[in-house]
Amino acid sequence: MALLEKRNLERYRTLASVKTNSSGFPLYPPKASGIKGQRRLITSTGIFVILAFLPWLPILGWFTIFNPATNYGLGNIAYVFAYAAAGVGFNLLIGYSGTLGLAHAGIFALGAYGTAILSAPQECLDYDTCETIIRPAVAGYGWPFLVALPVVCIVAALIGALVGFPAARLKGFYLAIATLALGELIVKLISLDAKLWSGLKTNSGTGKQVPIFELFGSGQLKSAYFISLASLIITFVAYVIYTENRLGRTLKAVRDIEIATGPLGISGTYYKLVAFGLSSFAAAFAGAAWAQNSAFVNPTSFRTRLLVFLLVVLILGGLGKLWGPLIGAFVFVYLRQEFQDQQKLLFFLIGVALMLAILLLPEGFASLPDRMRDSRWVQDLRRRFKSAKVSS
Amino acid sequence: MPGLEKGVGGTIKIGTSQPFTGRAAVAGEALLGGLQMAVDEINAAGGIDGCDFILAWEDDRYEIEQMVTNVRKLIDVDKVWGFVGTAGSQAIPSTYPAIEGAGTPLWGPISPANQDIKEIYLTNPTRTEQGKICIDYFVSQGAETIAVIGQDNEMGVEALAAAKAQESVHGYEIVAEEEIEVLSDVVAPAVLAVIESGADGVLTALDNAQNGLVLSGFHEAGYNPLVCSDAGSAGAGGINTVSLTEPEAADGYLGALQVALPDTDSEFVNNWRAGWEAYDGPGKDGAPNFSLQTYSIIQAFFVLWDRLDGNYTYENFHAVAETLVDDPILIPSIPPIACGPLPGGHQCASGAGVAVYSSATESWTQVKAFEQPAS
Amino acid sequence: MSDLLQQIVAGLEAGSYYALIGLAIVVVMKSTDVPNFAQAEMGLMAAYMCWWLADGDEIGWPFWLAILVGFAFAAVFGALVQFFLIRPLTGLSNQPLAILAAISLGYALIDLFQDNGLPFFIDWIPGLGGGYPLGVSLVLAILSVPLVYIFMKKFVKKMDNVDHFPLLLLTIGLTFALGSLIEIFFGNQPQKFNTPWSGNIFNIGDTRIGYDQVVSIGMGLAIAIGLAIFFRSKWGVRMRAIAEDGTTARLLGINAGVISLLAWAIGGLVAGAAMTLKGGSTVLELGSAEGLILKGFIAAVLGGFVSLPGTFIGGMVVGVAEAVAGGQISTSLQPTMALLIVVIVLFLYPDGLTREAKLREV
Repeated sequence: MALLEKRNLERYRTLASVKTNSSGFPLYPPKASGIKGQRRLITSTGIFVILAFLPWLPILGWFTIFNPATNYGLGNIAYVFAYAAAGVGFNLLIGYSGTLGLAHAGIFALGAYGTAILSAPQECLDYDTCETIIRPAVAGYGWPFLVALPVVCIVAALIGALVGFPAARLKGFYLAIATLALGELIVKLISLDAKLWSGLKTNSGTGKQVPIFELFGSGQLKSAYFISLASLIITFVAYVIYTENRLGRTLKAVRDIEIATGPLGISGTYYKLVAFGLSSFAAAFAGAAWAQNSAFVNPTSFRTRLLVFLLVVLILGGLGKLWGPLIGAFVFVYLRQEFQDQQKLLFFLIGVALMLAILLLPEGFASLPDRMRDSRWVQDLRRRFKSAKVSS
Repeated sequence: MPGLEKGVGGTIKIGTSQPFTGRAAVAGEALLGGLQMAVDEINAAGGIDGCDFILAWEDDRYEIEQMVTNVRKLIDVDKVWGFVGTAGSQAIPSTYPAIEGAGTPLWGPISPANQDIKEIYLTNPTRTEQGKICIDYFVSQGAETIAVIGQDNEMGVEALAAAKAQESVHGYEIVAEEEIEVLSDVVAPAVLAVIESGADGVLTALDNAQNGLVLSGFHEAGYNPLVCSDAGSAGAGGINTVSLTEPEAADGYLGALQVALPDTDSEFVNNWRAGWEAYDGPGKDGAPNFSLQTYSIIQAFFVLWDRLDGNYTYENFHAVAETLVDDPILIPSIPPIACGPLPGGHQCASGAGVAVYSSATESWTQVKAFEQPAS
Repeated sequence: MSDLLQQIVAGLEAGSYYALIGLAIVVVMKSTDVPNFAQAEMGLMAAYMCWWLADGDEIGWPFWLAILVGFAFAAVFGALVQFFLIRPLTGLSNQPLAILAAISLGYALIDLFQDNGLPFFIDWIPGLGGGYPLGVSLVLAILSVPLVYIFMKKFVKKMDNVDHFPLLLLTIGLTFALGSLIEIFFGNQPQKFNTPWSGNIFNIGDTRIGYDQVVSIGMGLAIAIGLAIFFRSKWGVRMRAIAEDGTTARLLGINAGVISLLAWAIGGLVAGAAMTLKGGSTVLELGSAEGLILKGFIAAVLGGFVSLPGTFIGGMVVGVAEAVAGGQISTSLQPTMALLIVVIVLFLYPDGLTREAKLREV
């Protein structure tokens, strides 16, 4: 309890330090002007361009797990992007707005299942006479993938906002558990197909074959790679837009949407809903990309375990940090593959690695630059450098 | 890689992905052990036609993502010729693009199977088939009402499909269709519902722990139907399920058989048993019944390999495999492997048996030989 | 009617497990402000320990002795986890962690150096690859101990003011590691834990009630009452003081360190009791913890994370609703009941069920 109050006190102090103009209206922290403000844009674009050409660049050939020349490596990187995209959406909700919405795994499942069902070839028009198990696994509505994808993402965003609406009344852990339960409910509903309405075509609990969409006929893996990369880029852009407006910059200072908006007279609920909607869009897109990579979806893949993995990716990378999810996703997928040969020890090693990472870097890997900058010996060096400059 | 050239032998890498850890590990360990043991054995015996074998295996923890990653790794990095015995059947469809892309054959127990894939050869009766055999047995013992308890996943759906399929054949009534959540130990609602229905025969498709609890629940209520499960979930031949309930409850429990019982006294099984007891590699602590299953399957593969007569290209493999229907591979512990051309021909083995557990002797006895379901 | 009673009894039994895990979570949360995702897994370890001592192959201790030792293990293990892992992140000393890390890494490195030599990123220097003889390995490992100690002491910062997320992730990591350890030590075969009352039932009218059900429900109730009494006692009051306002409490001389140890020991004990009861009544298997932890958190939420009676009742309600809905309506509905309940309750009562519940911000 004491910890909470201390933190709240700090936040109020920060807020109180927000400048106001003569009539008392708050002035938001200004955008960094000139090249410094553009620096982030340039680095981001550079990184994404490199990632887009990665399958043809020979730079990672030595790194078996992520070697883009093999389907294996390409698939792993695609999984990293999908996790990172879901993580960016998650970051928006949890890291940024401080809203503990944990329905993410459920929306991820929606994206995966939704695109799979909508774009699957039309068969089994009469569900009852259709040969059970096998044909329903491939039957769907026959939409083109590029139509199904945006539709599913938008529907997911709406569902996310719907989830967020009553959840706006809940705080902290209540919100977390409620949204977690809602996410699980969504996954359970997918399995209830035959009892609810077999027209849903989710094939009950038995899994659905994902029709592979080939981008320009480039083969399953390259397509999955680019769809995953696209999901990452788009969610990244959405994240930046959401966080770079005036409210976003205030949020950065205050880190709690209640406190940022309350005294400033803005509806916190509205921003929460937008956050829910955007993060759900991200989760669904990431889910669709994941499904293209995995080629098969099954309710068991989307249980709480997936949410735990997403949390790991997010917190390991750094909550609230822009590049956190991508770094976290790389580390997580790398650890999982690197320790594969240990079999029984795999999760032991991952668990220990996680614990060590958190103990050493509680704010995530993305906080490493800040930690180094703030650490005493770097500041010592800086001081000496400055005094050296002065004296020379 | 389009298979090996004609006449080129040498070291052949075979890949497999098994649920070596995680919730299917009880089966996964032994499934792997059986394969490794067979590979060691065949190498010690000098290989086949100058070929010796290496088993490249990965653990997939029964997860889709890991399985598809493993298959890709085995194809791209380990450069396997093909796959044998790859388990985790609920996730196998995720590997279809990789397998179709590389053309690597997959020879193993898959349930359910997509029979349109050229590379895939199903060497075991599906769970639906095993369910049908269980039900045929119920009917032969005079059952007129049937209940089904399945998990809320593919196992439950397959069991229900079996019950529905045989309904029109035998004319019984399905009086209860219950579900138990995967990983859940809360079996009471399903158990009570079935007890209330009073069915004569109960087909279950659950995991070992849930099966044990169901048996206990029935026993406590003094309810004594015929209870049968597919081979994996019954742990037929082993103690996986029957050790989890009171002896009186487990007495009379039926399990479908995909493979002969591990204590069968036949030359083939005795040979396997001797090897298994001496085996000291990965998976040696697994349940023996699963080991015998994969051991038998890979023996069939070796017989097929021999019939390739040195031409190890994929075309030849498919050509020879698809003529098995005229000259089946007979491994004493499993039904005949008689693959034929597509469509449908890659379901190579069908027919299952039934075994019953007796708590007095603490062993299983086969009561029905391998046969096709009634139709 | 007897059917409904039957379902209710089954529901009460399942509910008592949810309630107990929830209680453990709340005790730990109330006193040390850590959402312990690993609570059920820690309990499972204790349950497996009880089983191993009693029914396991080599050791055949009498049932009650095994239970006693197992429960003691649960409490001690809980305290140890707090002592080594949680302390650094809650503003207390990081020294125990540094010592533990240094020694365990040193021990592990002996094998590693013997087999592999130096890690792959160094061994491309010619001559440094491959395995080393025992003597060299031992020296290298011993040398690493002080290095690791210093590294950990310096870099694991004592955070006074850490969010719940790093703590949550820490406990998630612990869950993974524990689950793996349980599989390695106790095997992956589900086990039947035989208790003196296994398999016996008695009848009230048409309703069959198993002795194990009575024991589970009874123990659940007893533990809940025991905890309530404890929190009114001297130590319990101190625990609540630390939770409410740590600084003032410390100024008053209450030793936060000891209190935290005690809280985690109690949490471990309660969770261990829950998993042992469950194992005795149903089966002991690796996956039990995964399902229970969510239900435990649901029970804790229904009690507002502060109220012990609320948590207990919440857990029971979830269990009974599950069983009754599953029985009366459809078994397919059973898994969704717990989820539906928590969603509906929270939407109707955003501030939690009990009067004592306060708004908890993260």
